Amino acid sequence: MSTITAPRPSSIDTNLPGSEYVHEGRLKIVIAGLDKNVRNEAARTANDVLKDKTSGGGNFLSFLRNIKDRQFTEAGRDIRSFGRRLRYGTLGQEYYQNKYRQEKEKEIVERGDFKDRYGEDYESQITMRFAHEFDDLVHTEAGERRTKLDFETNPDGTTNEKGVKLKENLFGLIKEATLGGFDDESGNLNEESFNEEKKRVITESANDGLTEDYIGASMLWADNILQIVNHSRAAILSQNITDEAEKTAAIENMFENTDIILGEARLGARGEVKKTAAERISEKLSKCDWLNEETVATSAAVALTAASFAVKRGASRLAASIAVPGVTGGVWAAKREYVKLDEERTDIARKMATGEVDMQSLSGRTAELAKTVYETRSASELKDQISVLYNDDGELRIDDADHFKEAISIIAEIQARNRLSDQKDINLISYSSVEMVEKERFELDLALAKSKTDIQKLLSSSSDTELKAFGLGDETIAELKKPDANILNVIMEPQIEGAQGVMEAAIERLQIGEEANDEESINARDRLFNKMRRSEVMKAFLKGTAIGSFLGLFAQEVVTSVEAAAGESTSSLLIENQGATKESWLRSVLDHGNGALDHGNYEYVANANPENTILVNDETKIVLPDGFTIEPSADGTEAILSGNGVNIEHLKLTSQGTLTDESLNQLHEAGFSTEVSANQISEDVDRQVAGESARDFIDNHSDEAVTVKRDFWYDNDTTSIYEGSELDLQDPVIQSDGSINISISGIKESGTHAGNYAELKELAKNGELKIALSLSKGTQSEVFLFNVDENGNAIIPSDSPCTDLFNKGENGQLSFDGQYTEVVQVHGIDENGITHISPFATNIGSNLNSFDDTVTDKVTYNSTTYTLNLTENVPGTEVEAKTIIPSALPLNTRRGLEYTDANKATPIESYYFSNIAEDRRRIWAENRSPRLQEKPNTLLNTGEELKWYRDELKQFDEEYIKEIDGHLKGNEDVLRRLDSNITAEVCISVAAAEDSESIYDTLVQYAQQDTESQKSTMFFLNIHWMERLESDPEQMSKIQKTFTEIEQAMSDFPNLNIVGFETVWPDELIQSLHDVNDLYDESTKRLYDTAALATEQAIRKGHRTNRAGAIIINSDVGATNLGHNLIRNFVKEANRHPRIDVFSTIDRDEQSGLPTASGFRLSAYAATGGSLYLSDMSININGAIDQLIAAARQGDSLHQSADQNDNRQTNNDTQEEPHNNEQAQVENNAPANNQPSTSGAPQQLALSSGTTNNPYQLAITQALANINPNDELDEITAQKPNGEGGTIYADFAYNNRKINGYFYFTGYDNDMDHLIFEPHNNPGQTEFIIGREKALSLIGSGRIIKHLQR
Amino acid sequence: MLQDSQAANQFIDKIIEEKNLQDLDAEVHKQLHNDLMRRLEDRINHAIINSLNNKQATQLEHLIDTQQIDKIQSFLKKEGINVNGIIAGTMSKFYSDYLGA
Repeated sequence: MSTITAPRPSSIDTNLPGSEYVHEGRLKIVIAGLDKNVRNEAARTANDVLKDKTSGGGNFLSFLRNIKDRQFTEAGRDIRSFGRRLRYGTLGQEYYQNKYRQEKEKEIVERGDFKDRYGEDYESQITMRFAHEFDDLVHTEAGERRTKLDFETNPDGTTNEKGVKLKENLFGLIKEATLGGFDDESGNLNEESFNEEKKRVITESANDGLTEDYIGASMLWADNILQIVNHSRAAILSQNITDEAEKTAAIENMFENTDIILGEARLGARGEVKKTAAERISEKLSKCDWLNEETVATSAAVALTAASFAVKRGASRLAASIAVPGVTGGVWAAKREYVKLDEERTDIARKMATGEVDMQSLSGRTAELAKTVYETRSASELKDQISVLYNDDGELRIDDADHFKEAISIIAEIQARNRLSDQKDINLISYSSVEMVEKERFELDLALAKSKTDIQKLLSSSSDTELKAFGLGDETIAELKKPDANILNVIMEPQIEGAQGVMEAAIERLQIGEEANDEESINARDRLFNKMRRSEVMKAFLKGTAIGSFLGLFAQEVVTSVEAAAGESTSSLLIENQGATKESWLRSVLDHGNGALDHGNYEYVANANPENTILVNDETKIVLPDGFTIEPSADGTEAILSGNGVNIEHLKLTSQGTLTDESLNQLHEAGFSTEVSANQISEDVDRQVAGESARDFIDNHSDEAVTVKRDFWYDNDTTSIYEGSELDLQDPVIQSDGSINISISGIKESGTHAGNYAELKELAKNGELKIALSLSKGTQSEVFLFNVDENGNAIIPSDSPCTDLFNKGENGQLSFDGQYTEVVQVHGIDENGITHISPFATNIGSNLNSFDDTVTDKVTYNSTTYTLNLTENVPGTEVEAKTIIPSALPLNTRRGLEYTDANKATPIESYYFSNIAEDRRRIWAENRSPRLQEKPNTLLNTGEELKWYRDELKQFDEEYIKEIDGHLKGNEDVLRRLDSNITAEVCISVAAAEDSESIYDTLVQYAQQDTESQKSTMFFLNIHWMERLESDPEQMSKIQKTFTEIEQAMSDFPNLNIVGFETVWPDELIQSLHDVNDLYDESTKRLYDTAALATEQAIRKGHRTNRAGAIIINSDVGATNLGHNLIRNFVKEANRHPRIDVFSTIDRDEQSGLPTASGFRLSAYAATGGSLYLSDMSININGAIDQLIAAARQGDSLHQSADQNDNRQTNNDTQEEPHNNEQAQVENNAPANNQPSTSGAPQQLALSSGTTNNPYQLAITQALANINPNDELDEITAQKPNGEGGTIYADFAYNNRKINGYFYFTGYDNDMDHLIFEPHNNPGQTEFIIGREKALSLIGSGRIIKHLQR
Repeated sequence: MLQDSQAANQFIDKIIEEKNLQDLDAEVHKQLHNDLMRRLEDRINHAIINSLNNKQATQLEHLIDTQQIDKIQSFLKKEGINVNGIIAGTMSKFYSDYLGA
């Protein structure tokens, strides 16, 4: 008689199904109850239902309001909502909660599984986990339990009758199924029938009370009985047992070696430790060999070079700063809105971990923050723990299971702390002091390595009996004995699907603690931190609101009063203008009383506007009502919804960027209804493949390949008149659009065999004449066909994969890499789908048998769109009012940079521009935006001009647009912050090989700007270097250091919003430049365009309004004396002078003498064509932009007469210093009839040395002639020096006359306490003096003046 | 896996060497070497993944799941990820962490 037994681990036949349930030589039947999961799931969904029923609709106040307004329909809706909330939310809450829970429980039990929530294989994961021997695989702390059913006796010694009965039921079922009781007519197990019977047996067993002690009430359970049946059937089959009695005996024998494992499992019990995408991918990456040696070697060389730098410098800051230097994408994305508190937490964590601060010494907010820092264990303590494993002789003290378990636990904990620290960049191990970090870290690692080595030695030298004494099971021992076994890994990280190793358990313990709410766990500390952050942010918000309200109200009143006094259409509290279109908030209250602000005048419903769609990520979109925006955090785990006074924080996002149930509830509670639509989006991703076989190429493009059968060949032996040579198949030619033309000259009328062409043309006309490409002999039955037209041309389109099959040879001619190019007649397709062809002519190709290919992979994403409608007024929400609320509410007093008031009476300011060639003026004039074409002095709408500029750029150079878009994509996280509050965009060109010593200091100067300016500024850094430098390790280490310095600055100054991108200049570009310095212009151009298109993108995505303007500020690395108010002054001056587009600092760089920073309005840059028409200028890019804007603003157009241009040109020829015609006017003295005028556009002033017939020059001269040279001009109203030794623009009063103009600084007076100036263009004639103190205070103040062109 | 890289092995060797542990038992040396290598690899992977946006991360995972391991480096390059810079930076930090340089 044959018998079957559960195979020993060493002889497991892995081909047998179900062998994964054989452990220690015994087969494990597992049934795990899921009752608790059913109840929890039902309770959760019941709560959701209740929330839905109690959310939405109006409230009692809105009911009263609607009654008052006689809006009875709305009032009825309100009262129904109110009643619904009363019914479900208050009086009947408990009743309905129970009712819905029971309904949901029933639904789940009827559905029969949790596959929709936990995936198809959740049952096998549970049963495999429970079948395994390790206790760690059962999460008892989460409420799981496992029992091996003892058939014979209960713990109290009595007979286990229930157990015996349950065993009989289960074994009976398995035996019946093994013997064919549920087989179909083919002898196969009918699983549907079997499962039905299994359910019946287990349910009846439960009803008989056989399972309740082990698996609960059996509402739902997971089992492996089908797998056990498949195993026993396969075992019998494999042993060729045919006799029924022998089969039965074999089954009985198997049962002798079978255990029944019963228990209760918790699905998602470890849900809190769901891996983030980054952790998941990191784990996968660590299991594959993706890095090549070259990359590692190069990086190692650079790293060691950089490290030697650090050694030489001996500064700990650099050592600490050599962090992740990548400047693209996600590395910078770690900075975000709440980064300040994050940074503080990280800082305090680092200080605590390195012994710099002691928890006991902290107080106040720092102490509170310290409580959120992750629990650490000191390196010394951990090392001491290891030492406990050794006796005094240094030998391992492991002689029983307890000691062994202790040793493994210690090792696992240290490794888990190391791994989490490395993978999450956090501190879980502390050190006694900063100085001791390296020493203690290394000593711990060394002790760990030694203990692991010793334990491995111990295990490898122990007998099976000794190993069993350590608590190891047969299966583990067998794994350990395998020749190539990594002994510790077998225990720490078993590669068993569904099994959790000691390491993973240790990591989980650190993550979530021993119990669900362990206060020392990482998750618990994160929760505490989030709570604290919410509180801190709210405090800051309230504080800012209180101060802002008062100041805003006051400031608004002042501003509107000034505007009203100036005759603008504005009314303030003090000055009322009849018919004013704007009024201050106080004026509004005065005029309209409280009624104007009554809530009854507000709209309460705001529907989502599809145009206000926010992309959370590539997969998730959120459509919001106007005025609202949602801002995901940089790490994508949370988002803030804000707008119109609403601020909903901590909306949790899933790893896919979708809103969690908790977040949806938050939104519901805030008055939003949500509609969710989910789609699956497939995207084609191309990848290039080289060296592909013909077979693979055809398989990759099977939809385009055609299976053919060549019925016959046209040749000399056929009756056909066609011969290959007559058709004259030409070499392929690549065309300008990238397509390839294969021509047949024989079809042409002029061919030598002109008699054939008519019939060939007919074939071509009918689509029967084609070119067939065969890649190889072996695959010639599958070809790619292309039509030959009536002119004998077969075009392979540029997007056809077959274009990859042609390559240029040395002589520049294209050749076919495949086997055959044939001209064929197509006869038709038979019933088997085979196309029948007959070749006329054949060309032999290169037959490389190795092809380039472009393969398109389908990448599938889940796309989810949330539509959020504001259905209920949110307390504190400012919603659209029917009555226009005064423009400046206290909380929003800041004026934008751009105005739309085009009718302002003040004459436009204009600029001087010097020798600009006529043809260039013509190009500029023709290519400026329609708004500027129509009205040169118009005030521009930034959004409108940026959109126009993007379209222009796209037409001009699509590749360039792609490059810029690539920069934006790489910085998408930080660019989410480019909202309307960003008023300045600072562009810094960083020459990576040269600026490593100065970039940090430059950024420090920006970090010293006031906090508000930092937050309202976006910094764009282009880090660039020449490709040729990459072969020079010394240069590479400098480049590396530049990255490091930037990264350090970002870490040190988290308020700086930094967008960074790299450019490597290829050698061919450098060779084409006149001057290597032109690289600066190339870099700057990219910076400006990246800033421009980033802003355009932000507007397009709804992050920013069209009207919000910005000023681009250009600053060099290494610039000194930027001053702490630089950005604020730029923005302030831009606001003060809305009609001026170009600005620069007064202060000069110490070395270059140039302005420390210059800037221009983004709208003007875009409207004038930005970087498109600046090439081949003799001046640098900034000078060119200034001239471009000046030309546009002065109405320089083709419509001006040549005479006018010529005259101006003559006057300009000797002009070097800049001027501004309006500023050069002398009020009261300038004769009105001398005002230049051209086509209504402002005219430029042409001053030249020695010219005396210019009215303005005469006016200045005359005015100055009356000034006593020795008089100090106490009446100076706005002197604006641009540096000692340079030119000033002075604006002063003398004898009741206002005078302004340009003056040279000529020196000091005898006492050295006054600066002496003389008028520009009249050297030596007249002087005036400014007190030294006053001049120096102005020079050093960092004030901004209108740009003075040189 | 980084273990196969000669350069990475030399890099770790250099760290251990600079710790002046000539008398270290060969097996302990090997274990320490392996542990450090694993830690370095964790940090490199973490840094690389952190440099990707969500879509790039999804595409990278797709490459791994479909066993197109040889395409990973070219993918990262195409996406503009400065692999060399990131790895060099991570190695530099690792080096300084252990040697205080």
